[in-house]
Amino acid sequence: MIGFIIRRLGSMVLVLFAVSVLIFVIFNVIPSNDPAVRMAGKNPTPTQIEAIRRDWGFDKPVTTQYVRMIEKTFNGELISYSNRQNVTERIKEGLPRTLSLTFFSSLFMLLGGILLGMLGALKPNSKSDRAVNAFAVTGISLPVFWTGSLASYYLGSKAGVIPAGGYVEISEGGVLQWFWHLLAPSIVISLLFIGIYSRVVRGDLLDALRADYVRTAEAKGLSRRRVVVRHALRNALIPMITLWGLDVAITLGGGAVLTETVFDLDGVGAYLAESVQTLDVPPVLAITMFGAIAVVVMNALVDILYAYLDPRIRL
Amino acid sequence: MTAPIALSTSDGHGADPGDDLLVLSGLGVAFGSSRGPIHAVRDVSLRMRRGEVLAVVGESGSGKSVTALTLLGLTRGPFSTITGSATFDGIDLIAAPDKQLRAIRGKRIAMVFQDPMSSLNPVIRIGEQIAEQLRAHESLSKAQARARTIEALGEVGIPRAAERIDSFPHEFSGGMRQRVMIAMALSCGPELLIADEPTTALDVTVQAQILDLILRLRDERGMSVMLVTHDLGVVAETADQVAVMYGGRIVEQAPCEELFADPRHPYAWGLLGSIPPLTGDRPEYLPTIAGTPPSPLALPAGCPFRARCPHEFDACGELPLLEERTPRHLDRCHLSLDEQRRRRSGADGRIGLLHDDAAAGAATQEPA
Amino acid sequence: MSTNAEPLLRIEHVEQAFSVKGGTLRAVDDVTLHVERGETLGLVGESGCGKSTLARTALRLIEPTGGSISLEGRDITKIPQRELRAIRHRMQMVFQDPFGSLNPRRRIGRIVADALELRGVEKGKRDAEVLAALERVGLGADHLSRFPHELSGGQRQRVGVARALAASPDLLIADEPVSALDVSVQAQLVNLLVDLQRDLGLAQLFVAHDLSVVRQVANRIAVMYLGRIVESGPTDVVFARARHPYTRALLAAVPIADPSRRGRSREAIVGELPSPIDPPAGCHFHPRCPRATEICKAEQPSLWRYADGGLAACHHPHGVSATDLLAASRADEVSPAKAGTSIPQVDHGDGSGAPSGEVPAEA
Repeated sequence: MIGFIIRRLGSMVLVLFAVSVLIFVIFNVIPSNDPAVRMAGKNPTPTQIEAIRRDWGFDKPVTTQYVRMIEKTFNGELISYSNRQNVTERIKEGLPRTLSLTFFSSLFMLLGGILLGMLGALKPNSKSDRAVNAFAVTGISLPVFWTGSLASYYLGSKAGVIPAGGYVEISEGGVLQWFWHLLAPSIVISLLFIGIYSRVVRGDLLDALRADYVRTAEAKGLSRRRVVVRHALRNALIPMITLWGLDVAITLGGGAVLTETVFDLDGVGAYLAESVQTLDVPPVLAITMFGAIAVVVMNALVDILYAYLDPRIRL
Repeated sequence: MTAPIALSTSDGHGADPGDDLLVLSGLGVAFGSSRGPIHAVRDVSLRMRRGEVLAVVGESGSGKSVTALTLLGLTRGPFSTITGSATFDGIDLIAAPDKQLRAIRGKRIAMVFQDPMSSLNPVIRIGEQIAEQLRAHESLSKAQARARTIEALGEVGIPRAAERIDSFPHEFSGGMRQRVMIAMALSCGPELLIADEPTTALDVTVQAQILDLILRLRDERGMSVMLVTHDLGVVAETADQVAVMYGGRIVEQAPCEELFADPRHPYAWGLLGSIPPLTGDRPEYLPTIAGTPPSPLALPAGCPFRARCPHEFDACGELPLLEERTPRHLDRCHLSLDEQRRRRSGADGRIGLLHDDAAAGAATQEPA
Repeated sequence: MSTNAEPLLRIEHVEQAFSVKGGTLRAVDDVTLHVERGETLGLVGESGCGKSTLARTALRLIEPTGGSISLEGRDITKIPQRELRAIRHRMQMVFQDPFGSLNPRRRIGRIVADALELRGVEKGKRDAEVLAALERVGLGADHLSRFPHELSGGQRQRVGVARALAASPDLLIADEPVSALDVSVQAQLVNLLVDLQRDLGLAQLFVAHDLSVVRQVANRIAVMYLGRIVESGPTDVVFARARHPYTRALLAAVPIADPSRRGRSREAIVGELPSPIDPPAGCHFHPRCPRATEICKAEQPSLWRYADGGLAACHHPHGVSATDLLAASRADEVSPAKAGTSIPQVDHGDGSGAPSGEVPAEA
């Protein structure tokens, strides 16, 4: 277990290094992306630009700039180039929103994927299986910004069935309002994943139902329900869990860029979108690194869960 | 724990219909396929008495495993149709509703499969796998079920059962896993144990131990055993009665000693002949059966063995009946008893099949 | 020893050790054996005894971690891969799984022709040779354009043999070649292998767990247990006068297709193969051996060669009289550093192998 944690921490450092260097290099080679010029506003004098360059350290060698930015990222002193806000503060503001969204969407995708997958696998090639399949294909192929905009506009603004967007904290509007505002965006994010998971679960469950140990379970005279849930489903869920862990991590790390923007949730993802548009390196770097950490940590959690679900696996 | 059954004599004499535990009558199993129905099992009729070991022998595609699985309603595959009946202690297993069948499975009829690794759930502790069967059939508390599980594991020779009960299947060796399977199968004291190639995946020294274990438990409990196997050595070591299957049908059926002493069907001659002897002179060549076991999709009309049979003649275009030509010895062959005897002792002196290697390779009935 | 007297294949003190979690797995532990020209050596043992690993090591499909392999006196243990490829056609392998070992996307003709390419046969001559190889194994021209999945298991295994033959090898290494086949088909393949030895003088290293099959094809037999050879010798000697208790147990466990012999006394052994990682000290077999004494726990027995050509590594061999022991000699097939120096004890027939006090003259 200790070896496992050390290995994972090691890989986290490597991933963070690689990701940060990549982002840094990309933003440095994008043409006409001199932050000093953009920060100086309209019609700046060369002296003004030089001053900004010196103040912000853009005149230093690239490696020094990189090291300083990384230092600041971890000290919480990183400042945005476009609005001079503290990046860490801004992420902290958005985090509860993104976390809430992640919570519901991950729950929906998990439950939806399992239920629909089971529906398909228990009666393969039946009408319900075909319906599930059609739903899955639709869910996978519909672009999130499209379903999101549609839901927000027609169900929200026009029909008023759901809130068109925005986020309500529990302390402000209570649990119900909080949930109510997150429902539509969570469903919109989950659709794609439910589509994928239901296919994965269906396939793995079909395999599991054909497995010898399921035949043994039936030969023991267990109830159908016990055979399916305890013997087949448990084994069938193991591959899905890996996918799920990664997807949760991505949503958490600001991956729900489109949904957060469309539903005006103003979480980490929306902040990322905004920063990319303004070519604002510090927040992009910080959020990406945050996302990378989320992915590595979730991966480790998934592996632990994996080892619990399948005792043959050693960490 | 043991079902209260009187140990019946298994010497093959004095058959009394009242002793029959299991009667298969015209059992047929067909699977649907894009090329029409595949008849995996055809018209299988058998009687099994209490306390008896019946070996069902055959090669791949003979229908032996499907027959065994059908008894517990475990045949899979799309659109299977089952005809005929299988009566277990007065209950027709084929017609029985699911609920009744479930109450019999694991309780009165238990099954052991070929590969103990894949047949045990890899992610559930072995103790739980046994206990859940006990609790499905008897009202036991968790503690009671656990105690019974330890007892069952001890009985099949698993050392330190109380400790090993919480192990996972992969923590056992192959032989120990098969012991776990047997402990599980026997935990509810079944009257019939169906063992489908129980030792095929095991090494010979372990095979001997497992077979001895099954026979010892049969003697102690008076249960019946249906042993499905391809290995005539295993049959000779264990069985009271033998049914030889080929192409989905029983082609010969007899008490074990009689079958080995006086095999009637040319397929049985071939099977017996193709085993290299372990003692005595080594034959220069093994007598062989030409070709390969047929796929159920491409069985010839008439006698299923005729395409590979060196003694085939005109009459074989028509399916021979499975006839009891001497008491308790049935065979499905058009040759007369005298003719069978003459031919068996002819040719190369062992089984009447000539060594012809080139023909053996070329003659096949595989579907293209 | 002159070059002519060199056996076709000689494996000396070969070791195959893998690092695994929890220690070192010595799959092959100081094994010495040889295959003469035109001879079939049967290598038997239970799963996990290292017989398949040894067979693959002989071909250097796995590089040995110790010892040497020589082909006709030429040490091939260290030669570069390029040179190895040039002589590989002389040693061909037939695998257990006749399906997994044939490329499913290639036609039979191509599969066999590939082996000819290995040998550098001209294109114009290939077709005839492919057909000859197929006919040799009982297949024919109509199989040339088939795919492996269109053939039965037995036919596929014949293709495996034909492919090996096409390379015109001196040695065939067959790893459980019949165990995946139906009984009636097994016999056909066994006959084919016997034919190849007889007609082509093809030497074989035949690896199998089925003793009756090995008896049918092999001139000599070597029995492996946990990576070591515990007994070897001419087939008839090993079957009639097995000296090692493990060999005897193995023979006794084989079910005999004769109900009248049921209930014979069987020297059944208890337990199962221990883990090959960190195996028992001394004689690996001692925890399961009915004859084991203190010395078996402490000292690895050396291989002794008896007058009838049989070799056994046992402190308490079966059926060895004082006279036998006088005629016996220590075989140099186990590294002296590893094996003990003790002398096998005379068997008094009571199964105890009580100490004899008699010391044989060293040969």
